[in-house]
Amino acid sequence: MKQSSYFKDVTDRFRAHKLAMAGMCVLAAEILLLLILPWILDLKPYEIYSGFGAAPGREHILGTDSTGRDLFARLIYGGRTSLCVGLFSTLISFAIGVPLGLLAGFYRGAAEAVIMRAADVFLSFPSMVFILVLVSVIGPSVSCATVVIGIMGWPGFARQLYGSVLSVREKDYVEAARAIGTKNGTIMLRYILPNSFAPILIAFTFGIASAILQESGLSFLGMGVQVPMASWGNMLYAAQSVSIIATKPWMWLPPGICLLVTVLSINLFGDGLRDALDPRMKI
Amino acid sequence: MGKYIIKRLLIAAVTFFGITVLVYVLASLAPGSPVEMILAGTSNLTETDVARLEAQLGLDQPVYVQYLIWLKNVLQGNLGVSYRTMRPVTEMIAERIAPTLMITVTALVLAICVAVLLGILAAYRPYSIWDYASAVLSFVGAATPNFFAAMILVYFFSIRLGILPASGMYDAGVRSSLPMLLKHMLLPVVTLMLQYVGIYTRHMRSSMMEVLNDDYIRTARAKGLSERLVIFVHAFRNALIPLVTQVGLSLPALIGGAIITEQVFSWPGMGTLMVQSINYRDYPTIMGITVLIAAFVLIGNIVIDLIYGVLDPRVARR
Repeated sequence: MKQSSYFKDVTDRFRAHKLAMAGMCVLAAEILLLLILPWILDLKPYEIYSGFGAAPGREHILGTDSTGRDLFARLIYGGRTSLCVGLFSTLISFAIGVPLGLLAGFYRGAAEAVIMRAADVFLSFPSMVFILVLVSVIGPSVSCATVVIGIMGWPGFARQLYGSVLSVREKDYVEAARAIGTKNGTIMLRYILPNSFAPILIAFTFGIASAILQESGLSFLGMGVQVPMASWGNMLYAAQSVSIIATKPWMWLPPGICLLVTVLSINLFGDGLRDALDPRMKI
Repeated sequence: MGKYIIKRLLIAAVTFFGITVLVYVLASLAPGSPVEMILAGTSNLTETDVARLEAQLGLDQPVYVQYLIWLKNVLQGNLGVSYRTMRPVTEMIAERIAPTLMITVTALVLAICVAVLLGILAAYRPYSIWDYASAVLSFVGAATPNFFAAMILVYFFSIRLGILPASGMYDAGVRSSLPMLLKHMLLPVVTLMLQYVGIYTRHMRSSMMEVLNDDYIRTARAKGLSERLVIFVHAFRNALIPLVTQVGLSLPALIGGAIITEQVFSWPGMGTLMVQSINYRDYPTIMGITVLIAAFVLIGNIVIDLIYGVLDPRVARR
C-alpha cells in the first residue's frame, strides 16, 4: 500500500514536468524508430553506390557520403551504435561503481579511504586523455570504446551511491536488522541497495548521456567506432573538412542534430526523474 | 591557512605519483617495443645493433627500474625523445603549451564572467527573458557535442559570413599580428565556452537566489544600502562559492573539450599533438602530454582550493 502510493507520487510529479515528458516521448519515438526501421525498410549502410557525396534525392533521401554510402541508412545504424555504446558502457560503469560505492559507504575506514580517494583521482583527471591513451594501447574499435568509456565512468556511480549509503546505513531498520544478527552482505543487498535506488537511477540516466557524448567525441577524433561501421560521431568525423561543411550540409547536419536531440532528451528526462524521485535534490 | 595548503599540496603530489604509475604501466602494455618503433624502416640490422639500442634505452632493466629512471627524468624536465620526429618531447610540447593555454584560459575566464552577470540578472529577475535564456543555454550547451557546435560556427562565421577564419592560428604568408591572432582565437574560444556558460549560469543563479534570502542581505537592505551595493558587495562574494566548486569540477572536461576543439580548428596546441602522437603510436610524446596535463589539472585544483579559502575563511580553518 505504502509503496504503490510512493510510486504514484513519483509518476505524478514526473508527469507534471512538461519538458521531462517531452524528452521521454522523443526518446521513446527515437528508440522505436531505430529498432523497427531496419526491419521494414531495406537499409544498406555498407553498400557503396555510384554517386559520391550525392545530394538528397529520390534514391537516397539524405544523400550519400564521400564513399557513396546511403546516409539515411547510416544515420539509423549509427544511432543504434551510439545508443548501444552509451548503454553498455554505462552498464560497465554501473557494475564497477555500485559495488565500490556500497563497500566504501558501508564499511567506512580503509575501504572508504582507498575507494573514494581513487574516485577523486579519476574525477580530477580528464577522462578523455586517459581514454585516448588506452585506445592508443588497445587499438580503436567499438568494443574498445565501450569498455574504456565504461571503465572511466565508475566514479560517478561510486560517489552517488556512497553518499546515499552513508545516510541509509544510519536508519533504524538497518540497526534493527543488525540487532537480529543479519549478515553484513544481506544488509547491504536487501536493505541498503534498494533504498539507494533513486540516486542510482538518476546517475544511470545522466551516465548514458555523457557516455554517448564521449563516444561521439572519441569517434570524431577517429579513435572510436571505425568505418565501415557507422556511429553519429564518425559520420561527423568523415564530414569535418571545410569544403564539406560549406557545400554538403546533408553529410553533417543530420547526425549532429540527432546527437544533440538525443542527449538533450536524456538530460531533460533525467532532470524530471530527479525532481520526481527526490524533490530536495533540485538545483 | 598554511596547514590547509600543505595538506592540499600533499594530496596533489600523491595523485600525481599515481597518475605517472598508471600512465607508465599503460604505455608498457602497448604492443610493439620502442626499439621496433625507432628502427622501423631501417634494414640490415644485426642482433647486436638491437641489443645495443635496448641497453642504451635502458630496456634491459626490470620494469620498475625503467619506471624510476623515467620518473626521475620527467621530474628533471626530460620527457624523452619522440619516436615520430626524433626531437626531444619537452621541446615539442613547449611549443604547444602557449596556444592551448590561450584558448582554454580565455574560454574559462569569459565563461565565468558571462555566467556571473547572466546568473545575477536571472536571479534578480526570475522568470524574465534573461532567466529563460540562461536555462535554454544551459540545456542546449550541455547537450551539444562541441565539434558539432564548432562545425555550425564555422558554417555561419567562416563560410556564410566569411568574417572569421576556420582554422589555424595565423594566416599563411602574412606577418603575424595580435588582431589576427585574436580573430583566429574567437571561434575556438566560443566553442569551448558554449559547454560551460549555461551550467555556470545556472549555478550562479541558484546560489544567488539562496543568498538573496539570507538574513544579512535583509539587514544590509534595512540599513538603507543601495541595491547595487547589496548585490555586488554583500551577496556576490558568498554566491560565488558554489560557482568556484563547479569550475573546479569542470576543469578536466575542459581539457578533454580542448583536445577535440583544437582538432576541429587545426589549432596548433597540445590536443592536436596528442592526436597526431596517438596515430603514430609515439608513446614518449603521449606519456609526456598526459603527465603534463595531470600537472596542469592538479595545479588548477590547488588554485581553486586557494580561491575557496579566500572566499570562505571557514574552509581554511577547518
